[in-house]
Amino acid sequence: MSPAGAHEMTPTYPELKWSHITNVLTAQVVLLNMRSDAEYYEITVLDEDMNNIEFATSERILNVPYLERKTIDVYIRKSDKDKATYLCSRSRLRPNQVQSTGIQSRICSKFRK
Amino acid sequence: MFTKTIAVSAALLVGSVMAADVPITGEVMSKCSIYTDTAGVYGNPTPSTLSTSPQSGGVTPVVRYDVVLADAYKARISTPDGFTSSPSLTDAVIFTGSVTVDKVSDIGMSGYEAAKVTYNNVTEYDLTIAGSTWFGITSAMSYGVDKALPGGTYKAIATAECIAK
Repeated sequence: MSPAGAHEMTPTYPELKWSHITNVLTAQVVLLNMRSDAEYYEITVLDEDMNNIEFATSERILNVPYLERKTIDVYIRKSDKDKATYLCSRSRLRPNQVQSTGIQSRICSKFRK
Repeated sequence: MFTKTIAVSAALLVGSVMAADVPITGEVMSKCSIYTDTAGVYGNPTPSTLSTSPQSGGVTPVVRYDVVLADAYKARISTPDGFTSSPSLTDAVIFTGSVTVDKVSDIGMSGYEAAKVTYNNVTEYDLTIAGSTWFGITSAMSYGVDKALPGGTYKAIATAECIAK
């Protein structure tokens, strides 16, 4: 039995705002890693059917050490504003970190429109 | 000597004043947290099967969902449909699985189990009440027609998702 660990992302409804780049919007979320068995998280932006949408961020797979939080800024094109629905973070487990049955966690916030 | 005493006393006074002013702030925000409460272990009740059921010598993985805002998230839990690592398997591998509500923090959540939606290897719950819900994930597999599994380590991954509505 392993100690409880958590994956947490706030806020539930991030707001898309104009960025400093023309025709590009940005949104921000904060990821908190309280899972000792996961230190990498993958960021994705999805439409309402969970299909990928192009976006930019500093790191798509980012290292979030145990008990640390990271602020994540994502940038999407103005033309994708209506399609973009979810901003998700998913834990990435290394094979040697998985016991017999590992648990992958994914949290999706929804853009406020 | 007198000057030194005054200096030390002043330092202590300053220190005590600073310690008294350390602020602690907190904010409760709308969020979902997924806790990996218990890691699962496959038991090997017969030579051709593996199961996380305690009756089969396994440990059922448990995840806990904490939601601060009622009716803002749904939980989507997928049981494994393959191994992430295993010895070489040459015959058919059939996975089965189920997800059930294990514990709840609010009596109003007792209806979650009856209202769940299941398709393929996915189970969805509408988290309509703020609080904590524990879900047990049972996974089992069988190999061939009563064919003995090769010796080695078998690993699989279940996925717990919390999706804003």
